[in-house]
Amino acid sequence: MSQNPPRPGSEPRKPRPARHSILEDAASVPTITTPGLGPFEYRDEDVLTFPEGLPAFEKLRFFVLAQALEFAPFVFLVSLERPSVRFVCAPLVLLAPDYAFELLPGESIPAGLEPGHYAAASGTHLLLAILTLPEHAPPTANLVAPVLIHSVRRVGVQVILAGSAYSHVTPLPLLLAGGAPC
Amino acid sequence: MLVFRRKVGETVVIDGRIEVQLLEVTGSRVKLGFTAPPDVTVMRKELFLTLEENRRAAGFRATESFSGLAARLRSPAPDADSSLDLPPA
Repeated sequence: MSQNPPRPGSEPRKPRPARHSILEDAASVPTITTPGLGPFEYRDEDVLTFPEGLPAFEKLRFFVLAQALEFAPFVFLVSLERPSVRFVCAPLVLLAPDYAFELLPGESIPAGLEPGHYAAASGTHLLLAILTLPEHAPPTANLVAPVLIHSVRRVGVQVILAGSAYSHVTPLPLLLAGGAPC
Repeated sequence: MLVFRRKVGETVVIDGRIEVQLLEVTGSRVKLGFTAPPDVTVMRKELFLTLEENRRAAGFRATESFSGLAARLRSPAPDADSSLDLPPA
């Protein structure tokens, strides 16, 4: 290991765990709350490192992969450093099972991830699409910029695909109906 | 759209202060060089679109319709496990 990334959770201030009235020892389980959502309990392995942040949020490096049964299959990427920044995501395997892309050498690839072929259905990594949920318009998924997470190393990057046939605002209803994800 | 034909090494000037030079052509790929003042941001369009989309996405408000949407997604019962547990390190 040539690089030793900072331990997720050590530098950023974690929010104070929420108290649970039933289980006193639940106070030891870290939780994260984001406006209107949570608290979500999470484990160390749910903390992901994004060495380059996400476009528009380049300084935020640690995100919690937060999930709850009531919101499944959606998951949330919640910034550990700034919990008000959160993204609703959906596994690409559910939205577009055939989704795949090439991560080319020379692209901006953080340590811990390699160039190669990445498919939505995989045991070694997780592909998420970030969703936009406008109040008065159908939700959309950004299929031009999938979030690639290495399942073991817990390192992530939002890949920006060049020349992609996909749209950055693919209507979710179209995807759910099995329409062409373009 | 304004269209120019340029050869390798030739340049286009925008607004008297931004230069775009055609550096190399390899098959269907073209390498461009940009010279611009520091206050001008130059980026690939797909990155620009994602940057804007991320700002919009991060500002979403959790509403009842969102919970409803999740429920509707669950109801077809996709056979994939809804939990995205990562394996232990």
